[in-house]
Amino acid sequence: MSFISINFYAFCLLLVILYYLVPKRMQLFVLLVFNAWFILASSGALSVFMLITVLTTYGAGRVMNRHEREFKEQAAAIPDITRQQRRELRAVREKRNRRVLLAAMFLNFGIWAVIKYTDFFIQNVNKVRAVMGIPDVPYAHFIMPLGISFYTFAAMGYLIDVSRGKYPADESLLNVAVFVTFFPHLIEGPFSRYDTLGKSLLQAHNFDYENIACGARRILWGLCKKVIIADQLGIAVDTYFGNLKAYTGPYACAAMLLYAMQLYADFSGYMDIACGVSRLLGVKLDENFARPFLSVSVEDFWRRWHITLGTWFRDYVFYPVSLGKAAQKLGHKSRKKFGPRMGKLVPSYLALIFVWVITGLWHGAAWQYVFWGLANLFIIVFSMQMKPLYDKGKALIHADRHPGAWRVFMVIRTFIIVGFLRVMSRTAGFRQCLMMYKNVFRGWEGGWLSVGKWTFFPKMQTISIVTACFFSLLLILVDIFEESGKWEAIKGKTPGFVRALVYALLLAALVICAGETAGTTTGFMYEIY
Amino acid sequence: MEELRQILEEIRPDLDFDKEKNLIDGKVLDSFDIIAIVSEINEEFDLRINVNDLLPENFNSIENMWDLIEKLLAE
Repeated sequence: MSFISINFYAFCLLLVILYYLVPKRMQLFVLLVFNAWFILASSGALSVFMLITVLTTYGAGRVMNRHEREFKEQAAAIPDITRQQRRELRAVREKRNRRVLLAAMFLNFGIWAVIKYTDFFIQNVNKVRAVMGIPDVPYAHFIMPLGISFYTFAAMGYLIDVSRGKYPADESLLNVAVFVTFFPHLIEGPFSRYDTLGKSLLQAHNFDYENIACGARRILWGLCKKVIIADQLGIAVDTYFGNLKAYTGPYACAAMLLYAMQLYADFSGYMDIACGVSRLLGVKLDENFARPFLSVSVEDFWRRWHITLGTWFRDYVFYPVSLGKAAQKLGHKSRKKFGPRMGKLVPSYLALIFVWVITGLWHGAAWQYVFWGLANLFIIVFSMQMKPLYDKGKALIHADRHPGAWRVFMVIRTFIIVGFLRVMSRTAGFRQCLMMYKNVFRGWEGGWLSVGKWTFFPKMQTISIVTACFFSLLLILVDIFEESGKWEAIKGKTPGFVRALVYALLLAALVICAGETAGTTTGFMYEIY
Repeated sequence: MEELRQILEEIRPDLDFDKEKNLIDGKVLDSFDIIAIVSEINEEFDLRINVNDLLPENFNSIENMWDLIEKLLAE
């Protein structure tokens, strides 16, 4: 069931009516029924994988709770327990929890990995077999169940937290099922956390006009981003990437930047719709964006883009790997051999390599994604190492005298770097990607105005092009106001009739552009992950 | 607290840990520093700082870190 369909909004309307009509103790049950409806309508028989995740997550959590109870009983049974005895008991509990956690992770990440990466594995095996002259292994062509990359990570994050003692496991199967299957976070996330989403999701809600109004406004804005900006820019981007050889120089640059904007409008548009739908129910989803295209560095960008993915990898990959025995041992050795600085850096670098390889592979089962992840890491580490030199250069040109201009420079520089790297996720393989990069640097001979027609938009009406460009600027402007903290004040000061007019205009633009792309609108870009 | 101060000064000799009260929220320490600090504390005090303890309120100042160490030692 697509978020860009009349059916979906009829589904949401029915849910909201029933959710607030039934007694509060039944609200979660209603939500579970609608979650199941959404999942079955989208994934059919493949929904069985989600059922496995729900049941194993719930079961593993219950077992860990039992281990915790037994630990407390054993500790209480020993009079004047010493610290050493308590540590030994705790070690036993942790060992038992680790076994349960590993089993659950092996099963759930195993299902996810087999479905997502089998063909990638076969592709590489076939390359080796081709060298040896052995016939190819046929591809598996598994179909990805809806949201498997998101609900699996949300569920496993919950179990890891329970095993670490962050909070006890939920003893209610209904609660765990509603948390894992909550439909707004299934298609493109966010990577929800039980201790944040759970707080608002699992409590009863009264009907609140403010929630309905805020939710509806956020949905409208999300739809505008998706239909008016992302889908319209997508026509131009597809034209370019469908015929890389024909477009060079300014076209290649424009395509690269338009693709970055398309991706942002598409993904953040989805997030707005997901957050808006959740808000209709009084539920607060974790935010995934904090104005990423106003970032001043690549590191800053990754703190603002797909935030929940970054924090998931930080908490469940970066910290455990960098504080793990192997990394620490390596750190101590490096410290003895190369000094305290290297001793500090080595464990973190090792963990970052893990994080970025996994981040790359999470985005796509191909080597170019791994390369993309490592390229991001390289730029982040390079920037950190070059900081003293960078600061000297900044002082030399007196950048601090013009902080605004300097910030604009850094924002544009970061946008270009990020857009340049992101091309790797749009081209079909390394060869095409290299061609794209080459194209950026050639074909400038004729200048901007005489390089032929702007044939990016062959199938688009002028009004759609103008609307898409206008809304892209509007999106950037809204981000700038939000960044400066003035957005809420501006909204507050705007008279009611002006706001109503703005919403009416948004709706009209939405209808025009939806008509323009009718039949060609695709799903959200992050759905495939 | 002297052992802790030594650890911190060795990792970040450029900082005055008596004055700095906003080490994490003020982005004075980065994640590399935190990993190094946690690693040294674990070794020096024979502790195991859990990932769940890696919160700004536990690392914003030397006093916060000492409170965390004392809490973990008492467990």
